Amino acid sequence: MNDCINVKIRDLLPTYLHGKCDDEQEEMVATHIADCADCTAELELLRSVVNSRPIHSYVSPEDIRSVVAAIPTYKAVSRNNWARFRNAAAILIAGIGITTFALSKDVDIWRGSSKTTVVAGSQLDSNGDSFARGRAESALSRGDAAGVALVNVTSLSSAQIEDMMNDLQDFELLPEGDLASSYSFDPMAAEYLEMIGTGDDIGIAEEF
Amino acid sequence: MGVISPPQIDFSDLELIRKWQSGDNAAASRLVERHADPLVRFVSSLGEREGAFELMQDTFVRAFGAIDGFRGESSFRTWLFTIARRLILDRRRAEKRRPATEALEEGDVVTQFDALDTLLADEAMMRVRAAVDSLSAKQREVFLLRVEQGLSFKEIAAVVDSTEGATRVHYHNALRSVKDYLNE
Repeated sequence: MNDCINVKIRDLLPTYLHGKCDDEQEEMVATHIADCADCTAELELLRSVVNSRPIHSYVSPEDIRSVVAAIPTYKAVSRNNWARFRNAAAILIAGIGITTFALSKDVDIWRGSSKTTVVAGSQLDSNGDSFARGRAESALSRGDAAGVALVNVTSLSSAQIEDMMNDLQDFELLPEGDLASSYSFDPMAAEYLEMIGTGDDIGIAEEF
Repeated sequence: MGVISPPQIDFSDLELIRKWQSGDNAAASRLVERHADPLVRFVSSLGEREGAFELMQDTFVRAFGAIDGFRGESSFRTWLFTIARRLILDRRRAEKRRPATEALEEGDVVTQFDALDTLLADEAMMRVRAAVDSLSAKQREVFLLRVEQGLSFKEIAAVVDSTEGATRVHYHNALRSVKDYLNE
């Protein structure tokens, strides 16, 4: 038994066998197999395959009733699923809302208060200079931190915030000096002092 | 004077599903009647002849329980076959009767002929059946879905989780093997 070279027709033979071809396909296949012995033989083979499988009803009317009885009613299924979906969606939306609010307001949701904190030494942190930051906080603890602030912004008045911002701008405007050579024993501290001023102003120099 | 029964309207699967969703349980019965036999035939062809009825029932329960997920993009029968196939694979994995693999394995075909097979007196028919049974599991599954169930390649691809092109190749290879078997 040979294969016809018309693959399109061969693809359609099972469809034709089951009577599922549309009118155009039906005519095309019928016309073809009238003149093609290979496709005629193949169609017969396919028919014999179907006939070789036992043809009988597997499912009795009692079986049908049994299956239908096991099927849940649509409303019960639908309402349960919809309720679950609604609850999950509500929890998800609430979670997203709280998170978004907390991020947009910079609120510590665990403490319930604003904790916007400005640390001037953080400019050094970006360079990995945690030691100098430690020195700054040490000076701050003595209450003589000139130009270094570790404050709760919400506790300041508008005028104080404006002053603080001006101070921060002044840091950037300070001329570069050779303070590192004066404090060569501790370059990190010298770098920090160079940033904030002479060092004498805040009494850190004697520490070094 | 005899009672005139109302004409039997042949609703489509989608129409019957909508009717069932509206509370018409008779629509569910009609759907089960329409697809039960092909479904049992399908699961039997995958080697689940003994548990075919239970699988058929489980498939319908699953299908009706998740009916909102059926959007009519494929035929209802294709969707049922897909669910049945997944049930079989899940069951086999759970029972560890076969290695955990997505593919249906060799030997899935039922080789012990039951009483109905004795009705296949025609030797030619027996040879055709033997030829089909000699196919690999994948080829046999695709071949029978195409020839016995009349599914399109696109529908078969959805059932066996493959591509339309791959199922077409499997079908033609299977057909070639059947021909070769019968020519021996």
